[in-house]
Amino acid sequence: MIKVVVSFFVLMVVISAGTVYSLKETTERLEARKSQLSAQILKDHAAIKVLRAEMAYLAQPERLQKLSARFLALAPAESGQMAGAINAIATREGGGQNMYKLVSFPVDEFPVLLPQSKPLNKKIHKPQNKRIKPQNKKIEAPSFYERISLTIGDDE
Amino acid sequence: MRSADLHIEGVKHEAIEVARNRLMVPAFLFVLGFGILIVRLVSIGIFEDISDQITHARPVTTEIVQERVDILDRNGVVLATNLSAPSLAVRPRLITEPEETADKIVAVLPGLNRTSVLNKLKSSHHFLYIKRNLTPKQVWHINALGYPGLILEQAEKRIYPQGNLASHVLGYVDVENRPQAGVEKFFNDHLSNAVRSNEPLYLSLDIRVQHIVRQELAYAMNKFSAIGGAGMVMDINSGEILAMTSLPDFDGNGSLQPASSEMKNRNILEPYEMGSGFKTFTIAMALDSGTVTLNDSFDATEPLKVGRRTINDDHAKERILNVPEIFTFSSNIGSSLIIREVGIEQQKNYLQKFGMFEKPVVELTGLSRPILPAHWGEIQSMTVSYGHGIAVTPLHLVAGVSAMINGGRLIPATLIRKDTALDNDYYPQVISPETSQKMRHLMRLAVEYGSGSRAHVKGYLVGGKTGTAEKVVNGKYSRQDKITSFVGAFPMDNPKYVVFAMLDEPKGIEETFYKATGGWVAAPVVGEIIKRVGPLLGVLPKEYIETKYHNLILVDAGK
Repeated sequence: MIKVVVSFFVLMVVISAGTVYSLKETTERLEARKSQLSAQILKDHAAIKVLRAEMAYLAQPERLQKLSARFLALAPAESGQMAGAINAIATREGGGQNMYKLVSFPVDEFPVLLPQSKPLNKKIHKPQNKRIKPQNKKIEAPSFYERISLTIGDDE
Repeated sequence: MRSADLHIEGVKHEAIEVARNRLMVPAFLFVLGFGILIVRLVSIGIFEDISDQITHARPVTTEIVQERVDILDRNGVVLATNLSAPSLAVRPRLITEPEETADKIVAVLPGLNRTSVLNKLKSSHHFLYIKRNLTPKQVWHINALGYPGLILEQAEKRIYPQGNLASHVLGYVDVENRPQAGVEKFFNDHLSNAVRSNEPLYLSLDIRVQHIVRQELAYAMNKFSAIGGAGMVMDINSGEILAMTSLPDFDGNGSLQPASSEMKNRNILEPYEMGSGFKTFTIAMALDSGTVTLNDSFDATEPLKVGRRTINDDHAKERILNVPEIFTFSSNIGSSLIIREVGIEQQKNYLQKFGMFEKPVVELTGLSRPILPAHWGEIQSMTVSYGHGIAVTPLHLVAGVSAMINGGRLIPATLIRKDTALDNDYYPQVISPETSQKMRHLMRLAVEYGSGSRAHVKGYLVGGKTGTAEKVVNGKYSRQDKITSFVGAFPMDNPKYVVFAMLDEPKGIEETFYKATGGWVAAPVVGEIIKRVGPLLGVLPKEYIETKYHNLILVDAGK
């Protein structure tokens, strides 16, 4: 009888020892995974920050304006293009009163940009000013990081 | 079996008894040990908090210097952020081949001098910095070299991706990330609070509007060879400043000279004599106090002699002018006569209510007090009525004019985005809504018929008032050096925005018949700004609306 009891306990001890060991192993693995993940998250956060800063840098209004003037057949929006309500849009020639069927009124203010004629010969008022160009221009366009590090200098 | 045990006797029996007794000792120890473990287990499980900190903190090296919170514009565009920019350092004793190492470092960082790098590598110091603020690419290359003696020390740097664009509002930080000016300094408690690092600071600025204002101002500055300029766009119903620019300006990323003229925010830092812009206040107080009505007329036939001074008109009509004409044609004589009716005490009271006696209100440091006349006699009262002898900052003027046309509430300017609608009763009513209504029409008249006609924009009803003041040079008014300004608002049937432009010492050019007055120089700037900003801000254009009181004006008489 006592042998049965003893062997039962021994078995229990072995099993529980094994369980504890495997639990510990699992926990450690999870811990490692967790710290790895949180490190990755921090890294990603930093990367997102860098990217957002770079995006803001690349989307500087001045730069976009230059690029748009050079590559896009678009002109800045003008006040004449704005329609406050659907009624403000002129009907097409020959179309009678029933050209549009008004389904519902747009919610309160509803500024819509109407198309203007395509600017073939673009004569857009674009003040160019030498004075406000970014300093430290290299011959090849410096990247964001090069630019910010360039101006810092080597101060010891 | 048990019966056999029971019958063991004598020596054997005693030995077994001893063994059993001895067995009790380890058994007791076992029980004690496990008991302690169980008690500890239960206490940890129940009483102690589960802490992640130890594992969580592990990947974060202790060397992250100081987090500063990001600054965004009202649409979430990054204006200032912190990026990691490690510094390269060296432990010279761990460098075995200095020449080769120096060659490779200079190859990665071309800005460095090979000799000085080599000297550092060979020196007897423990630790030396080679270069600060490396870019990620450079860091990668340095790591790829694989020298154990080269150390990359974590550091953070404040970055302003927009460069010069909003530099005066943002301010800047020094090498140790300590704020030195602007919003950076004013909101340092928030910005340097690590707990709030996930709550970026939303400014009221709109970077697109800011760009337009800055570009137009720079264009005009160049055109008229002015030495400086200032521009603002303010939402008159909330006090939010959508754009605030001062030229020349600086790049917060670069090396800065704190005392240079680029660092000066002309919108708040220096009081100027604003000139005729002040007539807005004079007429408003006259109408609001009821001493003068729109139909009253004043004799501006001849220059006004008060004591030793003579008050002249720049655009003299040499006839009797009524109140709308005085405002529209910007008659100094007329406004002096009006203020004589109003009285000195009332003038002071009103100006105080308009906030002209205090520092301007905005979330920036370095705000300047207005310069008031030391003695407020009749002549001073008269010059103040057309904006001379009193110097205020442009922000004073913008906030004051906003109050004149937004229904009469003086709303303090703010640089922080307001997400909730304003409580109308919260701000002091400085003039009555009826007077404010009249002022809208008068300002519209000044653009339609008067000195501000070059601010006219197709599709929008622009109103405004020009201002030209002679600069004080060596205690005397200079004929050449002028401060020209224009404070405009649109759309005048339901004003939303005040637009201000000021140029410091513009020179007349052929196109303007060598005139450098507010109407020729600053008004077109405001016009261009409104033309570009209007569609951007979703302000709907209006058909032409006939201005009230225009029947009171004799447009061509006396010219």
